[in-house]
Parts: sequence; C-alpha cells; structure tokens
Amino acid sequence: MNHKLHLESQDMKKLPSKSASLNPKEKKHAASAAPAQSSGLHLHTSTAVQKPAPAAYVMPPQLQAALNQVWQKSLPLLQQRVGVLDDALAATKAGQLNPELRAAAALEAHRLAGLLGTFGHPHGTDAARMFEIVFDSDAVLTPKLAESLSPALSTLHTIMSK
Amino acid sequence: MGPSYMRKILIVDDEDDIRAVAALCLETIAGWEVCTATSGSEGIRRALETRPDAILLDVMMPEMDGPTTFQHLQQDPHTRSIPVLLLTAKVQGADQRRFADMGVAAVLSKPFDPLTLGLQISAALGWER
Repeated sequence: MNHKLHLESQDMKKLPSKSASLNPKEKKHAASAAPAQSSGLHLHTSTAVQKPAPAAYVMPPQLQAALNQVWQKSLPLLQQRVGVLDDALAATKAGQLNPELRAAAALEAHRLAGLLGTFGHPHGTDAARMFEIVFDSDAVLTPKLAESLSPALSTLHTIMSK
Repeated sequence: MGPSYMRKILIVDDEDDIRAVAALCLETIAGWEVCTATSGSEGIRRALETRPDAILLDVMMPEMDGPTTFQHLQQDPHTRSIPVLLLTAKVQGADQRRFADMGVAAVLSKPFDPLTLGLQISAALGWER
C-alpha cells in the first residue's frame, strides 16, 4: 500500500520538518522544489522563507500499519468487487450485459470509488468512478464504450495486486 | 466543554472496511471514543444506547439508507439533537444539495482522507480540538 497522504493541519502529530534545519537559501530551494513532488500536496511554499516552514504531516507509522492490516483483510472482498466489473465489462463487450449485472457493477464501482482513495489509491477511485458513471447512467453500453473502460479496469487490477 | 471530555462518535456504515478505517482514525488521531453500527436500524438502537456527540452516517446502505435513518433519528426526541454527518460517495452536486437540505450537520465525501476525517468532523460541528 502506498500512502501518499500528507496534510498541513496544526492538529495532527507534527513530524520533524525537513526544512527546519536548512539555511535560508536551502529553504528557498526546498520551497521551489516542493510543487514538483508527486504527493498531491498543497504546500504553501511561497511563504516558506518568511515564516516557519509549514508543518508537513505524514501518516503516523502505527496508523499506517493498522491501515495496512485493514487493507489486507479487505483485499479479498475488494477483488471480488473488481471481479464484478470484470464480468460486466466482458458481458458488455459481448453484447450480453443484463440489467442485474449492470446494477451490480454500478454498486460495486460506487463502493470501490468511495474506498480506494482512503487507502491511498486516488487513481483507483478515479477508475472506479468511471465505471460507476457509465454503468449507473442510462447510456446504451456498446462494446466500443466497454473497450474504453479497459484501462480503468487495468488500473484496478494493478491496485489489487499490490 | 472541559479538556478531559472525550467525544463519542457513532459510525453507521454497512461496509466493514469503511467502518474499520474511520474508527481507527477517529480513535487514533482524534482521540475520540467510537462506537459502530452496521445498519440504519442498528444505528438508531446504538444512538439511543450510547447517546453519542455525533453520528457519522453512510448514505447508501441496504434496508434502511442514511437519509431514512436520519429521519427516524429526527423523529425521536432522544436522538433529535444529535448532530448527524452524512458520508457519501455520491459526487453529483444535486445529490450533495439534496442531502444538505435534509438538515444534517454536514455532508462529507468518500473517499475520505484518514488523517483529516476528525478535522472535517470537528470543523463541521464547530468543535474545538
């Protein structure tokens, strides 16, 4: 599991700030480099030199370990949910999607979308959301449309294999 | 509210993983006491038993969904004053507005950030941390 969950709250456990020990020049460099990080953070880097560096927070190790356990425990169920999407997509490609499977796929996609981001998989939420939108819509599902969902399904499988 | 007071929050969600993560975060990070329920009807029972300071209520649940559960809580004078925060993976603006118009304290989105869930609840309810 790859948690990329960082925040800036004063209420969370403060970890040692990497920039706290830097000289002003280094701080400026650190501030300008921050947006390039791939964490998805919203860092207030423009004021990093004038004010104490904003506190950077990461998942406390104990909490991360506990979340990992929940993830591992949940994984079989999550894989089952992705399996429903597998079935629905295959049925759509074959022109054999029935209303029951379509509704089940929409529900499982909804559940996956609501959960994967919490476990540090925002791309998983995005991928599942695509399924939810498509299967929950009134649109006629064509094999071509199903094909366009294949990358999203691959994303979900990749996450499930971690 | 004295500093020694421990908030108590009831999480009502049919999904085990969501309940587990939310409980873990609210206990570990926010330091609150957490009780859980797996359905709307159990949530109503638990609300009466435990009298929580707030209820985090999932919208989409089988049998009794979140909005219906909220209506039941509102009809009971013993639970009417407990603030309810709806938790939903519905992202459509119309859904969010409909939920907000029901009179709940807040509508929180899934997926939630485990690190900030407690902050979101506190902010929505005006709780000091």
